[in-house]
Amino acid sequence: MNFQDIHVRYGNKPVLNGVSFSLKPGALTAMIGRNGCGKSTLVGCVGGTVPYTGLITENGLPLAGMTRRERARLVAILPQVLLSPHVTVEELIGYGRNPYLPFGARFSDHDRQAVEWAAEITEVKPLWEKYVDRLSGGERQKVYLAMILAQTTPLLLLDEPSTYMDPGYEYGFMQMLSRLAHDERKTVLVVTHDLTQAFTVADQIVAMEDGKVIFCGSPERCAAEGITERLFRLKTHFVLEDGTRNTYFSQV
Amino acid sequence: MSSQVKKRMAVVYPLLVGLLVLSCALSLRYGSSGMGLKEAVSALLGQEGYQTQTLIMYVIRVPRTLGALLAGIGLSVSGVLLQTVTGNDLAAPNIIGVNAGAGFAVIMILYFLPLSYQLLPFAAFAGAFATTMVIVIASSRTGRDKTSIILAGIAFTAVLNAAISLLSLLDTDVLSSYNAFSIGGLSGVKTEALAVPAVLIGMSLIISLMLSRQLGLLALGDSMAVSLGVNVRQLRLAALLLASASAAAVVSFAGLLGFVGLVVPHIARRITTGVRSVLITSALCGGILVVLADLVGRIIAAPSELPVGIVMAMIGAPFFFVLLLRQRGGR
Repeated sequence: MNFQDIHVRYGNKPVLNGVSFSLKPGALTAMIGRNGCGKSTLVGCVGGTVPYTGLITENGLPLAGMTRRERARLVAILPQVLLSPHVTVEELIGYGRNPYLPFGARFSDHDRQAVEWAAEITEVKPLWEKYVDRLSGGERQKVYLAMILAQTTPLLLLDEPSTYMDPGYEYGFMQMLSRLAHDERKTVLVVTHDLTQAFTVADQIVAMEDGKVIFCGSPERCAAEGITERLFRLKTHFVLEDGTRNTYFSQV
Repeated sequence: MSSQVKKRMAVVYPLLVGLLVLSCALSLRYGSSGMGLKEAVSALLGQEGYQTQTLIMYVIRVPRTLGALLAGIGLSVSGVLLQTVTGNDLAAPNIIGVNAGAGFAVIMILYFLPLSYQLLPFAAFAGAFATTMVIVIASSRTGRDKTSIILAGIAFTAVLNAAISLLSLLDTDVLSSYNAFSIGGLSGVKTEALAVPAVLIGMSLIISLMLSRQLGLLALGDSMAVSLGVNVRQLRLAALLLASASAAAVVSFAGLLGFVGLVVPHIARRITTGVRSVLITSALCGGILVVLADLVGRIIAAPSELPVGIVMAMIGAPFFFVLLLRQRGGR
């Protein structure tokens, strides 16, 4: 997916000021930046809830020219604020099939298979008959992930998905996103404030500041260019332990 | 619908249909004039020797039972739609101006054309539907989101209620006629007057069922629904029109029956989940509730009768409160 010169204004205030970058296909990209820098607004542009000028394309096709259903078959979005409706987990995941169902139609076998697959891959099958409004914050996040996976789109956009998760749950969740990108060949963009997870798991980092993308590249290059120092006054350190790259930060 | 709910509803639906049939049978069997079971069956079949009973059956009891059934279904469906699209559990037909719009149109007829009683059902429907249209158009100027619909509804309802109060202060005869309409009742309902409302209510229910999957997505929030391919604005507009048509159709023959559109969807949601199932369950529960309330109103003070609106509030409200207390913490 390509973003070319995206501008958004709220009244006279520019929120996105010429955003341009590309998402790496089949990879996990983490988007970082201070509060209010325009990350969620950019997700809204892709989702069709925020009007913008500029061009967002997928395989050369502009998103703005697509119908809502075409867009929903291409990109699935997990917004920052998730509600807790009184429906079962099975029903909620089934909502992900909406872009494929004609007016008044029932589920086909293919729809049911997509729902089953999404539940299995996110390991939410044990929650199947529970009500969404009775789940913990972390469980709810996973169930919503299953719902957007049931959309069977090549692109996934997640806006701060680990807000309600404890560190262990968050680690497992990010690993799951990484597997989706690498094993299922999904293009995943996750907006996050957790720098450790972002630099440990992501293949690509996109850093935003004041409505602009100031960096797009590998975590190593992001560290080398001192992006976290500029944004958060934190220095990035990589440590290799038993072949695994770990990341920690120190205050500048 | 989830498999768990499907299993439950396989028992609940037949039970509710059975209760509805039983309620209708009781409504036909009992009334202010005594009629034995044999007489009631003979009257229903139009057998010879039961002319008086047949007259009572087809002029009074059948239209009332059908009217109560339709009122229950229409108001419940309207309530489910409104609570779904506004995301507000307190939403009822009055929030989109159905009651105030119908009331205003009726009081205008009573005041300016006092002898034109035959115009009242049409005026009630037109007033209710037109007010919803105005509210929808006004709220669309501010984004047609859930809050703007509710705020526009409150503002227009306040204006119309002020006009109703003013006209009723100017003429006490108008006030007493208006009171009868505002309490809501089914006495004097004729079968012919139910044909158009039946079509409107039936169509609203069928289209709502077809839209039920998309309506369910609104519970996830507007941005989530949009990203799942839903045209939220159009869907909300369609649901408001269906809710208005359904409730306005009821107002045209039963006056302002409160309570049903607010409470029945809550009862249904305690039994089942998912908009489709809640719609069907509400329609059945609404039908049962109004038919039984009308029956109680007819026999409790026979040969006089209590309007169904009063009975519903007196029996239904405590019942709903007990339900809330029993399930406190359950959901």
